[in-house]
Formats: sequence, structure tokens, C-alpha cells
Amino acid sequence: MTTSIPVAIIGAGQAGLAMSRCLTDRSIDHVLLERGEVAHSWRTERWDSLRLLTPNWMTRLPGHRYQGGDPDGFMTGGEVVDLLTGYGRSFAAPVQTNTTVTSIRTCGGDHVITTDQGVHRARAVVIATGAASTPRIPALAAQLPAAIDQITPIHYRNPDQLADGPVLVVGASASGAQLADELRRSGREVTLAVGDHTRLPRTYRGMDIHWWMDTIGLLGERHDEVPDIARARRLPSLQLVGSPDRRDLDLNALADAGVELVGRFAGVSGSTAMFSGSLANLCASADLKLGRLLDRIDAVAAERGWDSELTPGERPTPTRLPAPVSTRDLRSVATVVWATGFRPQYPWLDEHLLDRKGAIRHDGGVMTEPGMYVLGLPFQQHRASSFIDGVGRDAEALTAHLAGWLDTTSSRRLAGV
Amino acid sequence: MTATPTSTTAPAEPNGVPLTKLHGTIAKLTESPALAAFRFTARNHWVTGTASTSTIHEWHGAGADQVHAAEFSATADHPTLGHGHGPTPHEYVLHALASCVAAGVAMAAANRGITLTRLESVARGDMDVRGVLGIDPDVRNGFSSIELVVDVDGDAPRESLDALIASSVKRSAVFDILTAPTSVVVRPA
Repeated sequence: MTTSIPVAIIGAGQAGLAMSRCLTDRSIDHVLLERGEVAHSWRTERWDSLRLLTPNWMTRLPGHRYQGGDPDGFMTGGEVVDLLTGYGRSFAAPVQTNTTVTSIRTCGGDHVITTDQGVHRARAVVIATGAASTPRIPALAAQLPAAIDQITPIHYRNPDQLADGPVLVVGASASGAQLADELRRSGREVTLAVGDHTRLPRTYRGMDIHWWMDTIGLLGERHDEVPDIARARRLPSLQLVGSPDRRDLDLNALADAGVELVGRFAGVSGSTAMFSGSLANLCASADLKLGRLLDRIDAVAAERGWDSELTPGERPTPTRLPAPVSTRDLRSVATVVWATGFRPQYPWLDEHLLDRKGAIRHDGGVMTEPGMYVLGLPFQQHRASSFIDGVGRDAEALTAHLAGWLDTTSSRRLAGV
Repeated sequence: MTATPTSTTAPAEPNGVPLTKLHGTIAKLTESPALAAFRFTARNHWVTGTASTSTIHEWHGAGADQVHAAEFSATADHPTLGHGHGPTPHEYVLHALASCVAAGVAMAAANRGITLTRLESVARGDMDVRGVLGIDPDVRNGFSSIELVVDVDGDAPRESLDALIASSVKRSAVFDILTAPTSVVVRPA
């Protein structure tokens, strides 16, 4: 059975729902095709202790503002599920759950979406399947001794799930830093392999770092304003944790907790792991970038005359470097956690829509095939594009473009073109 | 590494870096990744004792066999056991790191519109030679650590100048060769 619908949105997470709300506001008929339930990945692919990195007030979506009593707190994964479920209900988002898309093909100007629950024919498609669906696991994973358990943050839940014994966490962005910290607190020996990372304090001059990034205009920076957008889109996630005590989770904090810091996991030789000697340089680089950000914040604070109201700018101490460790006998490691980011994977899309690395070709979310859009990718239109708080802005822009596309195709059809 | 601007307009080769050519090359290799497969070759012949000379002439890249402007040569020797024909091979490694980072700083500066007035560095490598002499099998042969101190000056604030070093190291071939393991195969001819 084929259903015709003006717009199909693939995925009912923050991006899909934001788009749905914008289309609803313009009375554009649409359906959301969701492989599971609303906020599926938040229900099934997040560890137990995870909280948002952004404060509660920073969960603005089209037609939604945080109304709770703890605007500066950080939502748990369960609370994000409630937020998105409630948001979808608030405007009766037309979600078709438990529907997995198997292919999207363009045919006679329409997009034919085949799912395990039937076929939809749509004039426009919005891909909102998220930026964090398929873990990126380095090729050297295949060289690890078979006795080692390997896991990614998508399947990790809590320390009890892991076999007893030392853990090597690979990657020191938000996921890797948080899991290393949690596993260490559970009493395990933890080694953290640190590559390129973005160091940030949780608060600066008494205010949350995300408030600052929003206030100084950093989060609003557009994709056509930054000098190297490809690089900006690849930047590692922020080395932060959202916790009630607003603590820092940088390498110094991890070292204080007893986590052993080593360089990037660069190779395996027999049963020996080899770590890059680049750690000192990467730490210096992260400290340098952090210093530049805090300078920028201080400049804005001074310009706006806030210096008397704010606490003085106390700079985080430079990253303390451990004695270099270049190898580790992997026979003493029970589990490797790959917190090495995510990669795009769209096996259900035509290859010409993707670039050499399998990512969707797009300009600010407008794909190369007319009537096809993508939403929710890192730095899609601006720095906060993949944040709950930022996706709405992109959804509004894409909705305007999409509405124009529908108008064009309708008039063409009426004219019999 | 200093460049003297000859006019008030932006020079075509700031810091001696052919910017247009650089950007053209990046664009070309982005479009055609196959052209990015390069191979570098050094041919070495033994002179006497611990001395040997490498000649470097041909290289492959951009889809074709190429040659340098001249056949370059470099001779290495040993300071105490050799005959003073040249510095040690591992000092060439220090030179390789320093010159790789210098090239990167000059390019990054050119890219960012910074004119350099000074770019000097000192590379130091620490080595416990009981390793290479086979005295203690627990001591590694190579450097236990390397330090590169870069002194850069130009028409930009200190922080921007220091940032040039960081971005150069981020894209340095020799830094990567030294810090990450590389598969090395040595076999009879």
C-alpha cells in the first residue's frame, strides 16, 4: 500500500519533532516515520547516568520553553525522553512509530520511501535521524586480542555491566571523559587514551559555560561565517559533564580521580597497545584554545560593563601532564570502551546524495536532490545545530525553504509541467 | 625564513609561501584523492666506518613521477666512533622535525596574513645510549623524549603567533611520524 503525503520526516527525535512543529504551524501535512518510539535513541542508546551537557533553560524548541523549577540544572536521559514525548504530544505530532525506513528513491519528482510498514510517496523528505547513531570505531579494534571485551557508549549502561578488571577508554571528549570518570569511581583501574579534545570549565566567573557561549554569540555563529566549516563540523564534543554539583571534567579532574592518562591509541603490535607521543602537544593546544575562549568572554563582559557583577576570571590551571606512557600490555586490559565519536551511515539513501566519506551532501541542510533536506547535524547551519536548543532555528529555516519548494512543485503540477 | 614585503599590497608569496598555488593544490587533491598518493625515496650508500650518504632526487606525487630541482645529498656519521663526515642520523631527525614545523608555521602565517620577522627553533633529543650500545636491553634505542622550542615573531599579537606553532604541529608530517607508530619493513634487496 502506498500513501501519498506532502512531507515525510525520518526520525522523531529533537530534530524531527522541531521540524514537525514548524510544518504544523504552517499547516503543511506530514508524517514522522520513527524506527522505535519518540526519542528512541534517548530511550535505548544512552547510559544510565547521562545528563544533558546544556542546562535546562537551554532546551528551547519551536513553541517550547523550559517551565520547570530548575532552569540551571541538567536533565537526565529519562527527563529528555519526557521532554520530547510531551513536546510531540503538545501539538499532536503525527508520528508513525515502529517503522523502519529501508530505502528512499526519487522517482518522477516524488520521493518514494519504502519502510517495513509500507510505502510513502512524498514531495519533500526531511532526514532527522540524528548525528549520533553509528559509533565510529577505529580499524585497529580488529587487532585487539579476542579476550578483550569491546563496547561503545551506545551499548554501555553502567559499570556493573562490564567484566571485572582494568578498562581502557579511548577518546576524551564528553562520552569518554564521563565514562572514564564513572568507571574509575566504581573502583576500576582506568586508562584514558586522549586524542584531540576541547577543554572547557563547567562555569566561568560564576556563570555556566554554555550561557557564556550563547551570550557571546559563539553558539549562533553561522556555517558561512566560520573560516573552515569542514573542520568546524569535525570538532570533538565538549569535555563537559552536566552534574548537579556543576563540576569540571577536564583531564586534571580525571587525573585527580586516579584515571591514568595516555596519548591517542595509535596502534597495536601483538598484544601491546601503542599510544601516540602527541599528548603534551594536544593538551597545550586545548589549553591555548580554552585561553582564547575565556579572553573572548572577558572582553564581552568588560564591553557590557559586567565586571563588577561577576566574580573575577579565575583561569583553570594548565593541564598537568603525566609521565609519558607509550605502551600497555593489552593482556592486562579487560574492556576497551570506544568513545571515538560517530560516523554517518545512510545505507537507505542513493549514493549520489553522499560524499566520499558517506556523509550527506548538503548546504545548510538543503540536499543536492530537490525536495530533500537533512536536519540535526553538527554545525549544519550554526554551531548549536545539533543541540536541542539549536535545532529549532535550523528547522525554521528549512521549513521556509521546503514550503517554497512545495509551492513551486504544486504550481508546476497545476500547469502540467 | 624572513620575507621583506616589496609593496604595500599583499605579496603574492607572503613569507615566501606561494599561497595561490597552495590553495590550488588543496582544491585539486580534494577533488581527486588519487592524486594525493605520494611516495618519497632516499637512496643511501655506505662511505666508510659509520659514515653513509643518502641522495634524494626522485619522488612520486600528483599522479606522476617527479624530480627535485637538484639531486640533494646528506651524509651522516658518528661523533666519536666516526670520522666527522656529518651529524648523526638521529640529529637529522631533529632537523626533520624542526624544519617541518618551520614550514608549517610559515604556511599558517601566510594563510592568516601574518608576516614573519623571525622564526628560529631549537630541537633537543634525550637519549640513553646504553640502548644503542647494547649495554642494557631495558633501555630503548631511540630518543626518550624530544623538545622543540620555537621562537616566532611577526606582525601579530603573541597569542596569534603561538597559535601558528600549534596549527603547524597539528599538520606536521614529521611530528606525526615521531609520535605515532609507523609500520617499518626492513628487508634484503
